[in-house]
Amino acid sequence: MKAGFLALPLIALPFVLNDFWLTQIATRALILGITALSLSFLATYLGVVSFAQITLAGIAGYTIAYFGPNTVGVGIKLPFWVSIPAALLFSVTAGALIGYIARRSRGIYAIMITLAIGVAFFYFTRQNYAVFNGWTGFSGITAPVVAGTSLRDPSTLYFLSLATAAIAVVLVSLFARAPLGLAIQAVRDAPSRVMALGIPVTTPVVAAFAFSGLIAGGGGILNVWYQERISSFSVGLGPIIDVLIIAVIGGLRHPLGAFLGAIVFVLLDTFAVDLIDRDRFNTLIGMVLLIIVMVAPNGLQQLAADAVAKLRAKEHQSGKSARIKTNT
Amino acid sequence: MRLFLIVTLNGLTLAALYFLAASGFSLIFGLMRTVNMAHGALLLLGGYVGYDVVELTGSWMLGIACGGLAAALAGAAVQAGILGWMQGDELRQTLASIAISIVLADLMLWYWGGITYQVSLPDILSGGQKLPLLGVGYANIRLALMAFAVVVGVMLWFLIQRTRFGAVIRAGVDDQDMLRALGFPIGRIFIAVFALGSALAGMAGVIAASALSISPGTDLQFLLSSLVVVIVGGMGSIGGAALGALLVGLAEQYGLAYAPTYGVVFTFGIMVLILAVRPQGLMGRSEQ
Amino acid sequence: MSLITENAVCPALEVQGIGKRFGGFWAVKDIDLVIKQGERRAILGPNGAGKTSLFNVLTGDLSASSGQVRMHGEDISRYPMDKRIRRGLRRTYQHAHLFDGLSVRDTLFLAVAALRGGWRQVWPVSQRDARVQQAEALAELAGLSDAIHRGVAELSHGQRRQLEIGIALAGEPRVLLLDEPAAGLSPAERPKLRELLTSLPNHITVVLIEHDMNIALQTSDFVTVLYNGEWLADGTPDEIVLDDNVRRVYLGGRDGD
Repeated sequence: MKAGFLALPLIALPFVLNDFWLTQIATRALILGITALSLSFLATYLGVVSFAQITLAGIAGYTIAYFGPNTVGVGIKLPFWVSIPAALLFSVTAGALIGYIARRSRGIYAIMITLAIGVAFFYFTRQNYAVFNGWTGFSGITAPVVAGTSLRDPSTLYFLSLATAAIAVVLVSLFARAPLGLAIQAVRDAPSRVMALGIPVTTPVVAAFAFSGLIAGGGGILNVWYQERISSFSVGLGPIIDVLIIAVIGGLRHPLGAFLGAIVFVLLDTFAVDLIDRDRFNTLIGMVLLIIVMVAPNGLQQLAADAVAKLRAKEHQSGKSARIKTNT
Repeated sequence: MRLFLIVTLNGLTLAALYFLAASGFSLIFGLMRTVNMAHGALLLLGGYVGYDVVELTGSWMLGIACGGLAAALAGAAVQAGILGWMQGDELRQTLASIAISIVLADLMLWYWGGITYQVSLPDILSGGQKLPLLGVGYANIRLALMAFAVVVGVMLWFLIQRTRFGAVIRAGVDDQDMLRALGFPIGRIFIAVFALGSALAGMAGVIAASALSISPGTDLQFLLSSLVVVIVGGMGSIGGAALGALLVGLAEQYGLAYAPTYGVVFTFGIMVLILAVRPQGLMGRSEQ
Repeated sequence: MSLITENAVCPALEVQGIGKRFGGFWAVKDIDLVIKQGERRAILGPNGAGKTSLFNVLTGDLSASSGQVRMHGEDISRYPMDKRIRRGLRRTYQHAHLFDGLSVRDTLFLAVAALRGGWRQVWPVSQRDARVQQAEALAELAGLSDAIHRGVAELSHGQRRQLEIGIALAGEPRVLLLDEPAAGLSPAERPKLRELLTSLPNHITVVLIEHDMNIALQTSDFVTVLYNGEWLADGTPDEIVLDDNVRRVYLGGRDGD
């Protein structure tokens, strides 16, 4: 029921919005949200804030660019039904590898290591021409054409992104309840105790990062079709921080916050010109991040949930409000 | 052989610079468990201010001092105004310091623009020196940089191991609650250490602007190198920062000279290798 | 050799010359223990007697500096922790780090799945899954049926202790090491724990570290007393209460003079 209330307006969106709103706002927010979801998944269930999610999305995006039509003359052309699984395979494998490197690191150590990996990848793509085509990267990438329609067609790409986002959310919620998902959460709460159960800690950590690679890879593929190009700038510190900001604005305690954060971010990014000098967007977004961290460390999702809880408490009067207080 | 010597010297120069940047980062982390992601921005701020002061007064030493002072003031303001309020919540502090570094970098770009700055050197430091024994010429400023790093390293060691302030810091690293219970004004000590760590960054910024050059992006470059240096060397240890800086600086220069395409990979490879063998870094104490 | 004769011949736990050294300090020194199958053994001793260190060495949480451990005749001294767990050696921890983000049922399910396999499964399990059933049975055994869907973070201190025991009972435990299960419990919670301890199946051997003399003496049929990391006395609860050495070091201040 609840899903239906949410799904109907989302499905109706292409029939209501013009192309600018549909593509620049809705589709972009969905794609960013999917990539941010891979970050908030790790933050929520493994308790690790990873700065390497753009790297994983970028690996999938570069795979599509390298094995698909592009105008820079680098790569091998393969049909999309080969290149898409290959892209996801690479992002999952890279996720597992990063998880393995960071397997014994928690908290700030994990942040530093994933950040170092992310930035190292950025520098690597600039220096490598054989596969990543260096500084300039790939341009003129075209999305596949299926049954006569290009997947880049505004409403098609929107629906594709919406479907991918829905699948990603369903996968996250299924995985979180699966035994391996429970083991991941157990590692978050008490790693030494997981070992005392007889479960090696490395497997859940690697699995969590690999799964986040799958989600980020999905976002990365959509993004490269959306942008129609990819370069070192697509995997640089700018996008890394953007995705982090989205996840933090939305709230790291609940995976769905990623999409809430993405909408806020895209609206700010698009309409900041009207508020302030376009060039000072970074100051604006930095201030937004700072304010969120200072006044609502659990993000907008938590803020909204608290507001709803408060409203309900008022409705149910005194007896029940006490219960909610102890919960929060 | 000549190439090897020069590359080694370059590596040592870079290591000296990395040590100056990372020692402040590591000092702050060691006492307060704060990962200050704005460290690179503070370094760049110091560099810009130092440049302006040198242009204005013509005194290089004054430029270094003012660069350090500007970063120290900014750092103290950050700790007193923002990070101090979330002490103990590491993730929140990290995110807040990222926000601060974004804002700072953007405001600096606004004020100083996107151009590259290089501090003009005093006469003694410009020009070069024919090195005895090795038989290669080398720029004075780079030699001075190495000497400066050694002096700073020794002074830091002395401060931490031999003074009362250092004793308080060492006690704080082991047990903050105990210090608080003994009545030490821990909030003010934190601000002082933050200012000291930031001053090191600011001075490193002016020196980087003298020996190399600075521009938007320098902040990120030094934040990243500081991160890798302390991951390799071990968080919170000055000796670790020195060792880490040596390894990373040398690896980067050898990489650049002998495998130019994959210089980054060397640095990264060292980090991964060390993480695999000693997750707490070469000289770090084990955690968890 | 059949299982029964093997068990009849071999003690559940046979400890020979076990020691644990930290630097120059022996936390546990040269301990010998022979514990029969199904026995209820209490380990007593004042703080710093080496009780928890002994447990840590027995389970493999710490490696032994000297000595041997045999369980049902099998030398487990060199086994890593998870292999000892799989052989049926279980323990509870004094300072319980539990999974605060999981529910009671999910915690117990994970404990079962860790031993019976399948914890790597990436899709959710059905309610009728044998491992879920077993987790629910464990919750009942540990007296947590009412709290089964609650989050671990919401449990009372006593319920956390019960959950600890529930986790330790997953799979097929043969030897159960309980580290101060009654520590920090309110007087109202204590009888419930005692009841849980006395209701444990007879074939499980139980070794218990306990400060609460009442619980220790009521739930055990044999007592070992440690002092400063070394063996001090052995005996039935009645003998121990009367033992001069024990009275001096343990009950000393109050009853000695």
